[in-house]
Amino acid sequence: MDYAAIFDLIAKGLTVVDALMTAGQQAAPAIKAISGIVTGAQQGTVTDDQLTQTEALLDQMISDFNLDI
Amino acid sequence: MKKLFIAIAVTLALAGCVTTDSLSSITTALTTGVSNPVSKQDLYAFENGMIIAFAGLNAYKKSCANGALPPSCKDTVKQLQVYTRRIPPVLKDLRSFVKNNDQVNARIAYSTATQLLADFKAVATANNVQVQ
Repeated sequence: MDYAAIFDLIAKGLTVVDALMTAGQQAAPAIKAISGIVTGAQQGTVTDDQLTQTEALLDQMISDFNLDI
Repeated sequence: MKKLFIAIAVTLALAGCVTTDSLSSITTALTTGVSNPVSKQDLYAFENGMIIAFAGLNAYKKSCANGALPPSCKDTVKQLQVYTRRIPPVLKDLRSFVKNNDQVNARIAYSTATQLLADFKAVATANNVQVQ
């Protein structure tokens, strides 16, 4: 586990959350993702349920962006 | 608005973990193989990183759709979608390979996915979306 990379990811994620909230945009998915990263790093392992939930959220977000504008 | 652009820039930098070209990344994947496995933990961190990236992208798209950004933003969204629409099948393969512990293919799929992220970071840069 590359903890330096994980911490860097968390730090950048917090910056994104701050910018999203300042812009009045939906930050909940990003906050949830950061929470997942922290929890995963603390646990050292990830459960299938955690992975499934994350995959479902990501799939939805990708689908939302990929819709025609 | 500048902060939103910065948010996009950071999310794209955040998600672009590997910035090597496609051929180099695939070569690396083939040579590192099982000595540098892609674990469920790695997959979990990667997908959470992508969630953060897409939080920024969706915020940009929403602002664009609401008319809060210059009209050219629609072209930017369409250019980014060329890459983001390629992600679902790559993700599907990556997840399957990791969960089945097919490490050679997992490494290739992982490199492909990170290359896609690097590619749409380049599109963002080309469209004056600042990348940190």
